[in-house]
Amino acid sequence: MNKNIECFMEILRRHGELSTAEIIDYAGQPAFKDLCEGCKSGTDVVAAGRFLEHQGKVSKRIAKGGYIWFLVP
Amino acid sequence: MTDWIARRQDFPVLDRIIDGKRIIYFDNSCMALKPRQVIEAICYYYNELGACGGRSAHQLGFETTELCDNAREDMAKFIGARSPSEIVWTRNTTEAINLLANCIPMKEGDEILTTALEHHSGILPLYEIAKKKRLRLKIVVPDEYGFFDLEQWEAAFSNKTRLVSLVHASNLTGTIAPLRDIVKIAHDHGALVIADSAQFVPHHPVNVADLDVDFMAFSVHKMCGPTGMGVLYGKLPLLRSMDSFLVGGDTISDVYYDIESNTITPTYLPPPAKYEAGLQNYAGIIGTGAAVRYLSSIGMENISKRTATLLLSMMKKLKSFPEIRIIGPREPNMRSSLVAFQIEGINAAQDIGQYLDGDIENYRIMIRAGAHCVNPFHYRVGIQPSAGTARASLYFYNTQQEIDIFIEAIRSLISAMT
Repeated sequence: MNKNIECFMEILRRHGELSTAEIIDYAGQPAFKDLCEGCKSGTDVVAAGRFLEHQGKVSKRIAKGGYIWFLVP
Repeated sequence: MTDWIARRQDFPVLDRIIDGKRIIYFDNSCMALKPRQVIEAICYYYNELGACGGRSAHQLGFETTELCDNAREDMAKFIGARSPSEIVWTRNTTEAINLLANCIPMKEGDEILTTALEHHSGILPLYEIAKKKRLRLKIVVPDEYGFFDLEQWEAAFSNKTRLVSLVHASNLTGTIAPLRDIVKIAHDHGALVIADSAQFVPHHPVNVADLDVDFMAFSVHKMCGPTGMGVLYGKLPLLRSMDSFLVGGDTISDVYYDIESNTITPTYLPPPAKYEAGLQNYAGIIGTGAAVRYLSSIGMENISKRTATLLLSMMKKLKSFPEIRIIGPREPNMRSSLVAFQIEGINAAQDIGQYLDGDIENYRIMIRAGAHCVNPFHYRVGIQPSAGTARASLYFYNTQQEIDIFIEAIRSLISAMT
């Protein structure tokens, strides 16, 4: 598991359902600085989300403002 | 008259179906797709040669060397260089600019001019060398559309300016710098000019001699060529006079060892060899030659007109959405073949990319979302890099039908998310 994948999972574990913008924002915060890398433009964060989605560990739904991501129980 | 639909047959990846969906590839500013002609040239090296060029005196070595020499000659002609010796192979634009930043002689107190529109690959090598050598890095700021005026440039020079490095065609705003005029101003002030032409060379005819630019850097992977190949063009007297940055095997004619003093004295080869240390990417070089011949067979004027026509259509339709904010000039004739945008009400541009690639029927539309390695200009126009922008970038194998599908997908995205 690379750091961004770990970071993505941890953000959802701690904060529950979040939009893409919120996840990118959290990923850039000091609380996740040891877990996340290359997250300033969000590309790596979203790539991690898509990887996890492919693995069936997270999912997302369309909402006003953008996607909402959540952990698959 | 070019049959553009027939040209699409050259690109095997366009036939791919992923999860039952066809590909629409609009990420050409990042990476162009590869035609069979290039793929076959690379495979030819691995299937039929597989040997070192230059250093191996056997038949496979001779054949490899010949194909690599041909590629360098073809590239020199392609950009109007005076000699193949002015073409240095690098891994990419980034490496070429790093090499220049470290090779161009500068001393403490000298000034470098660059811009707030640079790709990180353009500005960071200068930032680091400025820090290391105690140089002053001055940043010329474009207007909110990505344009500069020449008076602004003129005013930025001082008697300490030694180097100007600027992006030729922006990978964000698409704006094209008035390179010839800036070169003239720089030369009048005794400064050298590096052009980051990564987004220009794949889309437009270029003649370095006519531009009188001192150095030009670009990447082959954006012009239908292999990954891991870039070009550093430099005027031959400058390449001769500068010291190398990367040194090692194949850069020297001798490393003399004086037994008595127990010291070595290297004698470097003339350019381009002095800048190409170690075993080279022969398959990449041969593939580069094939890419140059492929583009030349279509004609760069032809390619430029084709992408301009497609861009005109795309921008006209994007501008009809009140929710869309276009980054850079709104007039397509003032930009190269890409358009970056935001959609009001969608908080992360990444969601635009995800929607187009995953949530429309029958197609996967592949664009780029993020800050495109141009964080400074995002800040300049009040956009946080984390929010980013979506960018659709075109090449000659794209079609009007693909643009129509893209526009309908944008319409459904706006309806779903805003």
